[in-house]
Amino acid sequence: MGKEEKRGAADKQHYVLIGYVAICVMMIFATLFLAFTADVPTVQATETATRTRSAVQLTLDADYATIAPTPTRSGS
Amino acid sequence: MFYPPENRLGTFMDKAAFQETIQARRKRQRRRQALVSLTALFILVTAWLVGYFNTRSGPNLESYIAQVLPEADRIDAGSSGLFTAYVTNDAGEETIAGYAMVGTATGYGGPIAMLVGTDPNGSILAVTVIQHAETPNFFRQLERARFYEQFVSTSYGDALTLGDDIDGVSGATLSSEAVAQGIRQAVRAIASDAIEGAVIPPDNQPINFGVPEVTLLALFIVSFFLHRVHGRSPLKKYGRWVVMATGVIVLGFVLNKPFTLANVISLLAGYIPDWRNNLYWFLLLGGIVLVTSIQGKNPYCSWFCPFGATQEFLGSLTGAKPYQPRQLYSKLQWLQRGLAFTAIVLGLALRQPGAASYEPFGTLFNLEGSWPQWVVLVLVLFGSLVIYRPFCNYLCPLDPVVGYIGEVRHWVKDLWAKRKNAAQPTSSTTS
Repeated sequence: MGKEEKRGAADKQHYVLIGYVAICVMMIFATLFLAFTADVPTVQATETATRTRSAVQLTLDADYATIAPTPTRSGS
Repeated sequence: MFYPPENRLGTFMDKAAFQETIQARRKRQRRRQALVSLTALFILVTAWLVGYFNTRSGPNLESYIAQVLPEADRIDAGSSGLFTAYVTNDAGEETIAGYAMVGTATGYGGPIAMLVGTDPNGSILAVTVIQHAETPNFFRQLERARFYEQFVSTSYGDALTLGDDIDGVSGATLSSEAVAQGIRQAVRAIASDAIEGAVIPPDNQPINFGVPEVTLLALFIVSFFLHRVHGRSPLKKYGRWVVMATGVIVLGFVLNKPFTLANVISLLAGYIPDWRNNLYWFLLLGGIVLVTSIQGKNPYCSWFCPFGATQEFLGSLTGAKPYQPRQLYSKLQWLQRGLAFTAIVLGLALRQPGAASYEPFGTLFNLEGSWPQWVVLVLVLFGSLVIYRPFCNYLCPLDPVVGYIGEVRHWVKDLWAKRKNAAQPTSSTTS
């Protein structure tokens, strides 16, 4: 195999590698996009057969939006 | 013998000019590296602060409270975080219908907040997840396995512990542990605050030290000592294959607990899980940092990373060789660092370590993943038949992260050597 042919083969391998990595990188960005935009509905488990009532009245003076979750006892 | 190189014009440079060029180039390189490092540090700190301020306030509980206490006519919020639900009878008299409270614990990707509703006696009526940062595909497994339903009708006096009265979800153990811990914390806090005479069991959770922890320790110890065996001895060669096979089977397929970028981001964000339930997490991170600092080589990636070992096993079938053409590989390494950096910045800024972890480890070992992760997995597995460990060499975010520990080690070592050298002439002249 001549010098030119060897160089051509090496260049071809380079391009194949670049193409391979490029596809993987695109898929990784797609993975990140899907993961960060995933809408995971909050799940709940409730005791069955609850009676239907009128809409719940929350006390007006309580600021529900600012009640943060309590810290864990383990310190984390 | 010094052979002067040719300069760009094709004429020969003398030795002094050549050395000057080299020094100037090194200086430029150092300046560029310092600038890049400072910019990266600035971006990381900004991302950390953005995430911190965005998650300071908790979720809006209004919509969730009605879900866990559906029979209530009125709900009163107490200062300690206890919600009391009231029902009104036909005579217009109000009686307590139940209580609700939030409990949080650290899962795989960060804090998981659970809202728990109980009846007036502290028996759980409903539980709901109000906030989490877990990997979406894995977290959905809990719902599919009907994990939450196990808690309904249990009480503050029950153990509410995985492996005791609650079954964990295989493949999402850390999330299961955290949900159970959050619920346990909330229901016991309700009992403590609202139920008179409630006898609350002490929170003496057992320390989880079982097969996963023992296997991990054994892998670290064996790989550490085998790495110190010099030359190409059969003990080292076959020992490494045994360590890799154990990694694939136990850490990969049986436990599905590989080291991921989510572990790193959780640590940076300050999400440290309860050590008693997650001793494995501490052993894994601590072991990697400790052995890399002592040995200078990361034992996990090259020895028992289940995904790396799978690629190597596949490559050994066809005799795949590393393909690292000098100039191109250097650029691809920067791409790999850039990918890891982007994922870390996103994970910190949005405080979602689980979502930032783009490795297809769970896709292979637990058959869970988004469609692009499946594409990456297929490409990597087929690529492994041609190139030695393609994911580790070109794409894995952990290689640059763990490599950074090695860099710090070199830096400290160099600094130590410089100090020692600087001290030596003084001592020789005085003696």
